[in-house]
Amino acid sequence: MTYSAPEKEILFVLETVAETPALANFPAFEECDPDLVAAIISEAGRFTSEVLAPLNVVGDREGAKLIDGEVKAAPGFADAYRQYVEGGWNGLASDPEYGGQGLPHVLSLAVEECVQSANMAFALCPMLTRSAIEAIGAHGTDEQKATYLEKITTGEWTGSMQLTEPQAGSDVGALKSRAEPQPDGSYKIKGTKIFITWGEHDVAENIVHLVLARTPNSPAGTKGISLFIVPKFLVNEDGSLGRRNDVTCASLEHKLGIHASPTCVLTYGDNDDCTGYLIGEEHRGMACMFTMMNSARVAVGVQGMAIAEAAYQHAAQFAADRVQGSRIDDPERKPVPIIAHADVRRNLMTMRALTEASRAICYLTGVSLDRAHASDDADERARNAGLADLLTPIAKAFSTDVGVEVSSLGIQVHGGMGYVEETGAAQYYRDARIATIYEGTNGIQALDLVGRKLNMAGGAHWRAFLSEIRNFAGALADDGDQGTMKAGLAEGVDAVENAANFLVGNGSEKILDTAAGATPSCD
Amino acid sequence: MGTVVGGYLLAKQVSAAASRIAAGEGDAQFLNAKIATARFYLEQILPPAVALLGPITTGAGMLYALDEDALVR
Repeated sequence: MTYSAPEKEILFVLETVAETPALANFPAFEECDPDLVAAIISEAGRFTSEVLAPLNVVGDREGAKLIDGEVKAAPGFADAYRQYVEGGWNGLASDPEYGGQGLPHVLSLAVEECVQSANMAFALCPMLTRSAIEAIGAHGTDEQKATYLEKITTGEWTGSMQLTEPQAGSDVGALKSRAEPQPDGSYKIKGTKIFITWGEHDVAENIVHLVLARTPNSPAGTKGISLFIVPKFLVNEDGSLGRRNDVTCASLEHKLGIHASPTCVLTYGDNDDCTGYLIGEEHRGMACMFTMMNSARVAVGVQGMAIAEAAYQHAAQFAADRVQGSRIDDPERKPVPIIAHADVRRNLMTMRALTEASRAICYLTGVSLDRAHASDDADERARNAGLADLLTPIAKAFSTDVGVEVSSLGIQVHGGMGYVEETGAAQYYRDARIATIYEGTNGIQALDLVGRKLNMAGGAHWRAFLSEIRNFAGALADDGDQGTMKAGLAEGVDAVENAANFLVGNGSEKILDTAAGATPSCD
Repeated sequence: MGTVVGGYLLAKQVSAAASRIAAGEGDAQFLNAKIATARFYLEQILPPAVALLGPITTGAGMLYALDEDALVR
């Protein structure tokens, strides 16, 4: 069965949770009326189900291939990427001055959901490009913006983000790649990067690598790291492509999932001729990375939720078609599709409910970023920035856990048929598994939540949000649908408050107790 | 915390769905499914997450009860 975008659900969550109609009150988003939103989601649904979803299985089976140092994308991916760029999907929320459409970030996330559901391995390419757009948009010089920004905003060129080295995984400060200043102001880059998503490919004519490296005599750890633009092909003054830079794909990783997303080992300066350009200030590379961290983490959360949606659709359709046994309460023992069985119902309802919960969390986090930037009211900006900070590790960790849990249940619904690759249920599980690991493992998200986010502004952000939930629950009716929710929410808020008070109350002498409770705090 | 936040946001959607149904707006089948899904979540998924308060606040004791040598078989 192929993916079909849940357009009613997406629009409903945008309207009622993200409250997107109110965004049109901001001058930056005045063109964003409900008709435009509905048209974009409808077209995204069509494009992703017709163009991207049919490539999902072939991408998994064939994968990307390294041939003589060049990476060839999986069959059909280059053409699909061309259509993606021509459709103008890449720069929906990017700066109109550089070829973007200036729409709200949350709308771009809703489109990204469809792309990720349809084909996660494909979606990673524009996802990383968007991080590069944000980095160059926020920290690039006018000249750097003129050279690179429009090309990666339209998607004509792609971007990559390069932090990891063999000895520097979660501990980014351990990286060793070097950058030697040259008389012309550029740098010579030398080193090896691993786990570089879409770090080399043939779906676009150039790749703008953003590479963390150390300048000579820089301080140890993260304080000595700077960020560099390293184009695959150098760009001439007239904007045309020049010589191939000295950066080589040495190998591709063999992975559990996302086979069509080339995960590269890249070597820089094998011939001592790799040219890079400093972006932002020297030694401020980690700070540059932090400016795009919230949106990148929310995007990975969306990815987890999107895989859950796809796995749910797949499993529900299978359960409706697969006839086995009869209902336990049917004296005539009529054969039924397994969707009639209580256990299968439990799995499907759990999948559906978890997916809808994580969608709401991701969209709320995304729209908080929009409001934090676009509001003309300083209090509203601060409140939303605080909420986005608080919710970001939750959006990432909770939603990617949901991706794994729901895709695992999807296999369970299929029974033995789910364990063989032919039904396609297993691919979602294999693909989803990486999302709890990259962009900061969920364990690191949890430490971010309990160590930083709960303490920000003296705890004002989480206290304000819990008050909002309490006020909402208090106003619900005592009976009917609202009554069951009222009691549950009240208990839930009390539990979160008690947990948060424990986690922030431990202080530095009992910090290990806070760390021990961190991971379940995101659940 | 994610489960509670998700429960809150689903409950908000239930209120919005109920208003639309009362006003005769929207797709009734979708809105009723939203309400049922949210109720399932609040009744079945939220309670075990509330019970995580114990594990979260127990401290690091049992995580370090075994020596590193004893952990590695």
